[in-house]
Amino acid sequence: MKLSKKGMYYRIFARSASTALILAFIFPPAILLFLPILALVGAYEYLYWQNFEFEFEEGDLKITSGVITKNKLDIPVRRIQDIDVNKNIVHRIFEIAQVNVKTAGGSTSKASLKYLDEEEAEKIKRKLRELKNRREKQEESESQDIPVSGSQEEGETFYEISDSIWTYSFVTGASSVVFISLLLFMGAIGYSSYVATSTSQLVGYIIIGFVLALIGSTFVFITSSLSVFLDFYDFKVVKRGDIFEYEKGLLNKKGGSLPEEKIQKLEITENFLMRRLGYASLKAETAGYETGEEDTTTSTKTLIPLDSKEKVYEHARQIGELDINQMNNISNKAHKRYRHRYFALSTVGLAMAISLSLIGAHPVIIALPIAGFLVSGKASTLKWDNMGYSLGKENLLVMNGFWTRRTYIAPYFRFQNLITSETIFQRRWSLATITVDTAGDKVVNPRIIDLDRNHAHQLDNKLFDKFQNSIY
Amino acid sequence: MERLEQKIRSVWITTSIIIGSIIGAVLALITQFILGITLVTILMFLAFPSLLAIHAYYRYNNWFFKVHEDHLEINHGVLSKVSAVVPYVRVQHIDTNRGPIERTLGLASLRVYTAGSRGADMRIPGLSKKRAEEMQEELKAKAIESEQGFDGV
Repeated sequence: MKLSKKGMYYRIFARSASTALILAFIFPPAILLFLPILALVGAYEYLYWQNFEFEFEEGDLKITSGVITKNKLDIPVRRIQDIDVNKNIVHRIFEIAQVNVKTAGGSTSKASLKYLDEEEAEKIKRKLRELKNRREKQEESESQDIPVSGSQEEGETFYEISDSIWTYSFVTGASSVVFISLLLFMGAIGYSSYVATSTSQLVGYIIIGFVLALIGSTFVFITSSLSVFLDFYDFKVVKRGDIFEYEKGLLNKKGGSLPEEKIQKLEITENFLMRRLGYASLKAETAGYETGEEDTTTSTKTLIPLDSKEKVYEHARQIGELDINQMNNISNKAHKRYRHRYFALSTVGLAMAISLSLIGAHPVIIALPIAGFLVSGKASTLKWDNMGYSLGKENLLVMNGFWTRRTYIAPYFRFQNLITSETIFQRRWSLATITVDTAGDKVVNPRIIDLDRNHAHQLDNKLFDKFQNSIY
Repeated sequence: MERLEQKIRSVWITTSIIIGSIIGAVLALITQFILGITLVTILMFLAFPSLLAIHAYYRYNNWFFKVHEDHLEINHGVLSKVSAVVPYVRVQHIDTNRGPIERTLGLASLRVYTAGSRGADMRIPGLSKKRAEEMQEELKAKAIESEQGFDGV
């Protein structure tokens, strides 16, 4: 099969325009070269199009491509992890789409079909998924011929964003504003007191600083809420058989899929603002993995961008056999440890502020570390309050973070290793951290931080038992 | 709990003295240039290698592992302590490694791979060649035995 001809025109247009623009940027008269560039790019793209061929042979996707060097790519269907269909606004005008095929073998064995007609792209996606399902079913039943039904069945809507998109955009914008404006306003005070020589000058600088901070915050609010609005408009997850398929986007349409059996753990995220308003979001994390390969790749996909907490938990329950108990607190000593930590940080800040004021900054700068001292008690309580864990029947829940609180839901049977560690700072308090290593990247492992040392070792054994029971 | 071969301690101490001396020499040169006090320079030169050597000494003392019925337990760490549990069901494959230094001393290290991400913690250094090979076989057998059709993820 061939790529779309419209896609070829688009490539010629996009490539020659961008090349010409870059050249013109470096050397403006180069814009005159647009026509020769167009001819060159056009010739190349035509050859590319002519040499690009893809085929489904015995259920495998075979791609032959290359103008100068010929490449042959052969992707066994059962190794396909994910098939995406993406189109940006210009693609949509041309009615073309890009199909990406991801396999477990990492980035080298990834294929992109640039570009296909919109309808054709959907058809190919369907076909690949169908082939993949059939292949998997065949393997399960030792290659007996069974009819494919699962793949064609009508999917049921798992989640649809509808009007929540407005809340989602607003909350996203508002939460980024809180972060940014906190920094900007503090920066305004700090910088003004650093450069001001008299109090009246200081007041003037601070006013200017605040106005700038206000403009900056408004800008941040508009851009961040607009970007999620455009990205998640019309967000929809459909469950077809065992596969979640999602679609989203106002201008740029994106879509992809996520097999339920590949989900390693779920993540419920609530930032400080969402907690206030009773919202949460749900993500699923998968690990691509094939026997005999050392590396696993993790991808996190959003299942619910934002909705009421009840609804998010209700949907999470549908995926895992989830039971949510009351969260257990981490060690009480940890609370004290955080208070000490913030106190120490404020002390360092105070020392820095005093030295700055000695070399000429306005003494007002000392207000910043003083504020730090005042909030350190409250901050440690908030940090501690938002940490916890809970052992359910089938899964472990681990919660952490004040600004953005993440609750990981990891089924026991997904555990890979258990690691208990004590850093040198924790040992002073006889505290320990349990890391639950699941397949995938290191960054997203659930960690139960700052447990009492003895308790940590007990819990470690308990978790190991739960793991054993879930396996056998 | 099983310990590592005594020889690895000497390897660790020697390596830390060599690396420490290089860092120490650089620091000593800088202090000599800035302060010019011979005593401080000498102390600067000695501080790093001796601290690293002490660390290496205790590193050995704190290294334990045990081959349990259904999992491998690894404990190590001087300043920060790590204790890892690797269930055999999850083991993908097991490597033994013998670098040039290890070969001359008849040592080997063993690495257990899982689909998890904390690979660095699943390495046992300073085993005798014989023990490493024996363990590789043993763990492999246990991994196969415990697998019963699980794919490891």
